[in-house]
Amino acid sequence: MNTTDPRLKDLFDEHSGRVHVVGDLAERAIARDRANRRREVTTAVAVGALALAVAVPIGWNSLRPVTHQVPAGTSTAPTPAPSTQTGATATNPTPSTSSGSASDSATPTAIPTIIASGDPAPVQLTPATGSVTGQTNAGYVVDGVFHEGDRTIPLPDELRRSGHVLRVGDGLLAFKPADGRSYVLVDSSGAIVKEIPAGGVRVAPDRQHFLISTLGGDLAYYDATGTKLGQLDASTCECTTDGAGGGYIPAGLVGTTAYGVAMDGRTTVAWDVTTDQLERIKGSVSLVGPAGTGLVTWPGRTPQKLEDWCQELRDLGTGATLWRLCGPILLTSFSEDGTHLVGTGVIDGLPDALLDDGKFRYPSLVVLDASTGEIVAEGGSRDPAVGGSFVTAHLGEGGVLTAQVNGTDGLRSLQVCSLDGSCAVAGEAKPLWTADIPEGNDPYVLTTN
Amino acid sequence: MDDAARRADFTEYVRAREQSLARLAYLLTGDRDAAEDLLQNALAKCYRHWDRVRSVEQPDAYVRRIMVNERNSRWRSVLRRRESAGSHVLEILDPPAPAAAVDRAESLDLWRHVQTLPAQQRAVVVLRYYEDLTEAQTAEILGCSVGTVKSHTSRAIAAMRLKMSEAPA
Repeated sequence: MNTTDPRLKDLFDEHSGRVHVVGDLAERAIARDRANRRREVTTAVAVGALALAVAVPIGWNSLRPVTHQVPAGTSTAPTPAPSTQTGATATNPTPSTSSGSASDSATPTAIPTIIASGDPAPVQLTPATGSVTGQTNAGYVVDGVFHEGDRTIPLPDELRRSGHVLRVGDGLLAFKPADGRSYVLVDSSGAIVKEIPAGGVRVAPDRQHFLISTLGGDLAYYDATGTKLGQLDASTCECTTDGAGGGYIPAGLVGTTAYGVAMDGRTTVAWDVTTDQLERIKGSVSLVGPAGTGLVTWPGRTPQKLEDWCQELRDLGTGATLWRLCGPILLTSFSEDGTHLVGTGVIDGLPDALLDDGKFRYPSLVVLDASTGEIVAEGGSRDPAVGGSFVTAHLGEGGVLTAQVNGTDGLRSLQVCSLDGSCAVAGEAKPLWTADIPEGNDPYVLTTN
Repeated sequence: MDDAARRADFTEYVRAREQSLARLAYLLTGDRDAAEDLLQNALAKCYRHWDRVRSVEQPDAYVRRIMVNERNSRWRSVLRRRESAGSHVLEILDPPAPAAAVDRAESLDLWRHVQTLPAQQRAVVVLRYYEDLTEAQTAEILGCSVGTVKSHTSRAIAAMRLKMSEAPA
């Protein structure tokens, strides 16, 4: 026993006695849960089995551990070789065996591998300040109204603060924030067509069909009018997760093939919605591009070095791996034309091994060339608390990037940038919907398709 | 349990326990904004899993575990926000008038030293000396062994004793 013990107890009693709850803590916690859900629906599918989240630029985000170990297949570890031309270290093609279709026998291939060690990208996107001087054709919602070029759709009151909006047909599919468990299909006039209980949604590139996961984990395939055309039972995934049962997370839809990641993150199913034929793909396909390429993630549980935490782009038709990227970048979407991938280096839940002395290696926006995996542009700060962070981004055709940017004053503006680095303000800076909850509640909601 | 009942049940729990949880959050962080954020995040997670939390676990233990784990995470410093919420749910009163100037100075020194402890050590001393948890209970919340709790406690006490002895009289 030493004299510090009673003094510590007295000290804690004294300081804790100064603390009083003066607001409605329960209400605030419920509101924060709602805000978290809104944010998660926009990233849950993208992060898939990674169980990581894009960190919120001005908020403290929840820590979510990596909960699934996605097997690295039979690939051999890449061997780094120095080359820093593209904002990362590229290795020579490394002899490896691809892990494409689960039923395929392993075939030796040479996989170009990039080690994303934190080297700066060739192009830096710097957010603009000042008044509105730019225009965007990207789809987004602000103040309860959807905008796409000259077209607008007023949203029903219950969807004004949806947080997740997708373009379907001439209308929209919007997350219903009040219950957090359904999406609402609205037509081009803003009238509600149908409410569909769903955990996640993906829309085909032509916007004529969409894929959802039901609350029970089934995959369901719909046309743009909201008519269900097919359903794949959750039990077919042959997976269970921590007693929560199995099922799928929708990953993408190309033509008549729907992709869903099994809940355990180990496999992805390719479901032909016309024949109900199933094919298994090893690994978790987190994103599907319009040309039928898929981003497969296979993070190690406790990576000790950058080379242990990789994602690779595969041709989902042949199973061939086009390239592999290892390092702390979370890719969240393909560009509309499939030529680029958009992601972030500001990721909640990264293990220390992937940090650079406690700091992120990449900033809030990272753009990759989808044909090579090379990092071609980045933007924003590596410190999410600093203004100028890219909060959400959508890369349209022709390399036009539309993004919501968090300013130094905490307000968020809409910006339009080209991949040569120039940006212009396209929507005036606005405050978050709920100032009391620093996470989420963005004033601008960009469509995710 | 439907949504309304779930909400009412959760609200009732929070109102009964909010002072205690708020004080723990403040001792873990030493800062009002950080304590508010930690507390709200922990309770939001608790609400998300309320059906399971209330039926399987002690809600207090669950919330404490979330708060300590989040506080200990390196991410808290990486993602530290520089902005405050629009309005506060916690109020931190000024310290009471000092009984003696020397005592007050020592108390402030000790409080400062507590705040310089590594997160894990600080969590251990708060759980042991404020929450009066046993070493085994503390180990369970921190997800470590009793031996680790012992070593954290001993290092924390030793560090504070050293700093107090080095402080100018």
